[in-house]
Amino acid sequence: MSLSRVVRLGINQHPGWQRLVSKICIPTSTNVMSQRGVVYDYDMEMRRAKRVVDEGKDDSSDILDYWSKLNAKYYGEQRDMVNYPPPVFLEKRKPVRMFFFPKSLFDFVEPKTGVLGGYMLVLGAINMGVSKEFLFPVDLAEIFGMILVFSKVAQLGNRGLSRHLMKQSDTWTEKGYLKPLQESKEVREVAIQFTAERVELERTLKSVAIQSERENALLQLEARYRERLVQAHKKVKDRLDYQLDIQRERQNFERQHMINWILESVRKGITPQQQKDSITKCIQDLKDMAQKGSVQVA
Amino acid sequence: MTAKRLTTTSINWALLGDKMSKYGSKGTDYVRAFKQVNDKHLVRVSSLPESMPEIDFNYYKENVALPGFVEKLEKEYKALKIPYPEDRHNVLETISKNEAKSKADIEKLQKVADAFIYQAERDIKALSILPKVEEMQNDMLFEYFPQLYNDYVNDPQMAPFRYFDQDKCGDDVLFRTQEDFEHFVHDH
Repeated sequence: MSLSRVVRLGINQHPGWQRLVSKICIPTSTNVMSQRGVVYDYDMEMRRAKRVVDEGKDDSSDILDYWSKLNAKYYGEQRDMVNYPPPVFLEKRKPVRMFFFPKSLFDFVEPKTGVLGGYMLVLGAINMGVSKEFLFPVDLAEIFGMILVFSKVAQLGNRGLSRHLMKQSDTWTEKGYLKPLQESKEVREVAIQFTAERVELERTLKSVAIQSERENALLQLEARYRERLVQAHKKVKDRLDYQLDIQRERQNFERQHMINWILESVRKGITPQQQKDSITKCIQDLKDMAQKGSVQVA
Repeated sequence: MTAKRLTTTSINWALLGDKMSKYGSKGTDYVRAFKQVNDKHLVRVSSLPESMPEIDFNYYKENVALPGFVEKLEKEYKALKIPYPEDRHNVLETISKNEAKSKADIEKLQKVADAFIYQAERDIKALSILPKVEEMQNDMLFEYFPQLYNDYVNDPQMAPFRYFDQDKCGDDVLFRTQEDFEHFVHDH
């Protein structure tokens, strides 16, 4: 970076140069100038885009066209870049010899006159002027002395002062010009990416939501249909099973009834004399077994 | 059968979850909420048989003594057609309407985004064609950034050059920026 663009641009002469930090940005109509840095109001830009779509008119300033015209003015075809190149600020003094003789003069005359030719040309010209009375220098000694002194002072002062100024002005250029422009570039790049992603996301989610809703409705219909199938199956099977159950029950009942009837009839057929006889017979059998003395266990 | 029968989901939930996972837990929760409802219906469907279950009528023919009963039921059961349930509340139609509406919304959003991106890209391009800072002269800076300089002819500024010192202050807004407000607070 060369010596302060900001110094040369005159920004440091402004009463509040820090305020300008925020003003170096794209001056669209929707840009919010804030005190610190560039504010890029995303919502406001989206509202502007919506207005463009709805009403078909773009109310933002066309900065690209504006700066393109200016570029054509300063760097267009009509500009003679060879003879009038863009002025570039020098970072250092032009090189000199013997404090104040410009080195370009020596380079120019050296092929013809040798190394000392430059000195001889200047001093010889002055000498000739004095001797031929073209010049009447009353205070030549003072002039030479002042040139020597001031050039030495400038050389010495330049070292500290210019270093300080260059450092400061580089900072100003960085903070006041390059950084805001870079930031307004980056914030737009991020905004572009974010917007593209947002549209994609919205598209995906909306389609999924609709698809999911439709599937849920169709699945509920399908579930209802299947429930009806199961219901019909169950009704028919219940009727068939009912017949089977009734048959089984009837058979069971008949069997049980027959058993009960037979047992009852048998019990009714036993007389008290028969009971008495059978008990007497049992006691007699027991006595016989006791006389034998042992009980054979089968 | 009027409507198309749907027995499985065609949404790729895993892919969607991966897509949404870069938006953190909020994105995955969103997907999960959708998936839970879908799964509930899916489980209900898959727990029930797809077609009418078979009945072994031969077994009943052998065992049921009632003459003609099983044959009659079999004939009727085979001829039975269960109607597919109708969409009585027009849910599918409403969903189709919503889909058309959301598609139109998305198209509009896409248009707005395109307009937005077009303007932003133009701005970026404009920033890239600015001359080099080394070659920027005072007059060039004035022309490229006219907002840096006060227009002393058409808009003269009153000393000490703050917004609320000007005659126009208060016509529309009292403070134009935070800085103006801070100046005011400092003075009063």
